[in-house]
Amino acid sequence: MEGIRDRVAIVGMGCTQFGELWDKNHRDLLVDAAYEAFEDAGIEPKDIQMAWYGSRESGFTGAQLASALKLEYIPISRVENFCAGGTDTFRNACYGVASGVCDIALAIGAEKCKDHFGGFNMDILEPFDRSMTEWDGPPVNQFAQLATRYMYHYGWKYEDLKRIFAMIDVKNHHNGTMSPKAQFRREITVEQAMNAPIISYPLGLFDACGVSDGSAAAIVTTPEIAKSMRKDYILVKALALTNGGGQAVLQPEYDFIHFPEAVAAAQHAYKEAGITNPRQEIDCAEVHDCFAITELITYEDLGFSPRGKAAEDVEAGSFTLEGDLPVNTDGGLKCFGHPLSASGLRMIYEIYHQLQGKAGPRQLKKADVGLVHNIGGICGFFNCAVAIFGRPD
Amino acid sequence: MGFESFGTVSFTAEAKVADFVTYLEQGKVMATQCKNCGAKYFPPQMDCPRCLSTDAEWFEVKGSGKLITYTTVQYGPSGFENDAPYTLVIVDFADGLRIFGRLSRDIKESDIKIGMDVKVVPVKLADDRISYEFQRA
Ligand SMILES: [Zn+2]
Repeated sequence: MEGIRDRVAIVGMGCTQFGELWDKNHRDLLVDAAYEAFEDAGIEPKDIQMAWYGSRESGFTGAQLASALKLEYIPISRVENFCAGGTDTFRNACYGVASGVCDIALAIGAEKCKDHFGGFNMDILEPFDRSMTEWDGPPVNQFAQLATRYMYHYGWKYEDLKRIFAMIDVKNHHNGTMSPKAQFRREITVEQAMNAPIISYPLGLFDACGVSDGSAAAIVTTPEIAKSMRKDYILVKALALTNGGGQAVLQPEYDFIHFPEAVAAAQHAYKEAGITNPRQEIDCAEVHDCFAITELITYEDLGFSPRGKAAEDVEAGSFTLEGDLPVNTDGGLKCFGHPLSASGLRMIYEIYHQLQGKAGPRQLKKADVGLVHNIGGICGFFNCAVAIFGRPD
Repeated sequence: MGFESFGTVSFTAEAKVADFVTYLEQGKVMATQCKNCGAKYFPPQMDCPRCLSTDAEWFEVKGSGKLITYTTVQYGPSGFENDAPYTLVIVDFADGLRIFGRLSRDIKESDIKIGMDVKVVPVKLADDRISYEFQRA
């Protein structure tokens, strides 16, 4: 089996403002993200041979995209994979190129979460598991249960773990101040984050990402074609996707202190990319910080920190812009909000610019290898995407 | 009778285990056990996802279980806005039976401890609706 490593290149990307975009509908967002990507790649819409369109909340079928961009009579597949939808949309477009059935493909994700039934976060999705339990537990409650158990398992005092969460929140808010397209662009303090109102114990307001509208897009092609288009194209090194098949939170062996789907996705991705020591070999990462506890546990799931030790790395500043492995350099979901199928592509957009050396005030000194991670669903039932990127030699 | 009278908001019409609600009305919280492989299920399932057998039987969830984790919800989702704050818990009973649900309001948030012993009992809600909750064992 041949993996995806070095077989697909990104030659253009686009990303809209993320936030409460009351003056734009989802077609406007698709146009804005796609045309920035077309311009970046130096191509016309007619050059797109196939497209993959990720969306959960906006309309139905690939014709939504065909109509917005006038991409008539080309194949457009619609992708829905909850929080991993954006990265999975990208993954499908890459596989299209790698298979040889098309030379240039578009991957684009868009959501209007703010004016869709009041935003997905407080809207109850259909029961995941045919549960007869009352489904009164949206995502924040799911992840809060991990935070409570993590605190107990490692013997944390409430105030001490809240301070670690707050340090993650403060880091992401600081990075967000340098991201013009972010929903939230202001500094917060550790005290503010620790003392904010609780949403779902022990997670407070600043331990949770926002809900927003947004769209992001990528143009992918073969490395051979990419060479003829630009010098600073970015190579796909790995694409992993896992789905948990457990009986949701009721899986009796589940420990509530890790995400097995993320561990499996990371192992697959590291193997495909040829990475043996992720802490040393990865220069920057965009991880799924829907809640502070998710980012903390993800450090461990991805092998950035040993089990139970992620907080020590947070205290040491390892994941700040000045640290040895900066995480969520653009401010993450914390500052961009989380328009489901757009998020993964927005995160790839940041890694793409870091690896090109075009991340402006957020630019890292060394950015040769970058990682994107998304996780969504409920415990025992998550899906997780991990993608790794590198520069041409 | 089926799930139309279950919970604050009923999400399911899972007909194969509709007796769950009838049992609740009789004062019993019931789960199912696969007759082939012995796996226990709550919410009850008549089809076993482990061994794929379709032969299961009911049993009553008795005794106490241990609280594994919890969260106290300050903002309820659609349909539950007026219920908050409430506490969601995960509880482990014997033989790999894990149950998810609400904790009784009689237990103060400051008294909730991981590892505490709780039992599960049916509760009547407003408008003749029925559910179950965890109480101190
Ligand atoms: Zn069985």
